Amino acid sequence: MGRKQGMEHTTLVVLSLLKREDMYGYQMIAELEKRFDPTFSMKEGTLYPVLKALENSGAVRSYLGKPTAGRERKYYHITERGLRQLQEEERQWRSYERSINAVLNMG
Amino acid sequence: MRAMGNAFDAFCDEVLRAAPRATAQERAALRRELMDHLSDHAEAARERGSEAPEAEAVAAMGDGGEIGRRWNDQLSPFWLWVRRCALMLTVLLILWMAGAMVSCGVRLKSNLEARWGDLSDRYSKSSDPVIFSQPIDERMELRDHVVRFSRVEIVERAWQEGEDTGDYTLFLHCAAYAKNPLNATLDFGALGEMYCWGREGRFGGGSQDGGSTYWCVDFPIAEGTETAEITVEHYGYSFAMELPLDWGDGS
Repeated sequence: MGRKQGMEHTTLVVLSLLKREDMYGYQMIAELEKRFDPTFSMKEGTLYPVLKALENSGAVRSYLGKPTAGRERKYYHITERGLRQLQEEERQWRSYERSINAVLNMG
Repeated sequence: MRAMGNAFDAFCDEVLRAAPRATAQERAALRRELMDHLSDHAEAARERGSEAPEAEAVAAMGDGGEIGRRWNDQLSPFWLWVRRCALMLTVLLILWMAGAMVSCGVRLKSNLEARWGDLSDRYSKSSDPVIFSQPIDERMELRDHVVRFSRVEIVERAWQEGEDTGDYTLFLHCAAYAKNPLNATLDFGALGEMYCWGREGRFGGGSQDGGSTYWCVDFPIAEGTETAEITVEHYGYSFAMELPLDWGDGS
């Protein structure tokens, strides 16, 4: 159950990051490390199957780009379909969060 | 630098080993992406003062096999099955070609033996007294084959019991081969008709192995006949030869 939730969270997190700007793999990891506290940890390599799944579903597309003063990297860009998926996943997450909070606040 | 490359390569190998569905292009693309990620992580770790930035980068990625399996699950199995079918067809083709080459080799050898070999001993020895036996080398050219006459022999045996055909039988030993050494030889059913002094000969048995045919034809022969006038008719082709006979030589 925890592992499945972890995968679902990764999709939500990746789409949220890409909504702000196009990113390459390590850049996403670095951004997550800046934004989240250490309790949110994921093995970095698990990012790539998630990105592949999102690419297959059309939620993201990839292209080769060059970061400033750096080597060429594979960037990911969220598509319209990806934005709709993000919206839906955010809604589900908030609903889930409300339900958990309701249980925690009981008596 | 080399140790870093080896550790990163080993990790990528572990990931890709678990992804049999991936095409060569997909493998190359993922390897590049993972190597870039590992390099970036190692560089950041170095800047933070890490003493083992490469090892840290690899450890941070997680289990390579698990990553490969989950990535593999996102790929279509179509090309994997295409590769497997292609491999199976290649193996079958190689086996078929090997079989065809062996078969061709056997046929070629047989053809060349009939064409150039010494056939003087390649005949069934008669159990009846031999009056005359002489190796010969006469050839009749057909459209796609050659008939080679290799031996003439007279034995003391009535050609047909109960008939007035005399006490002697003349055997003519023959071989046939295709002009193209890789082609099949004449079948027994296509041997045509042979005559000795106008008397049609009788098929006396033979053997065939794909590359050559060996058989003999026997005729009644009167004692003292000095020559055997042989004529052959084969589907529009004619051939004639006169073979001297020596009744005093029994070897």
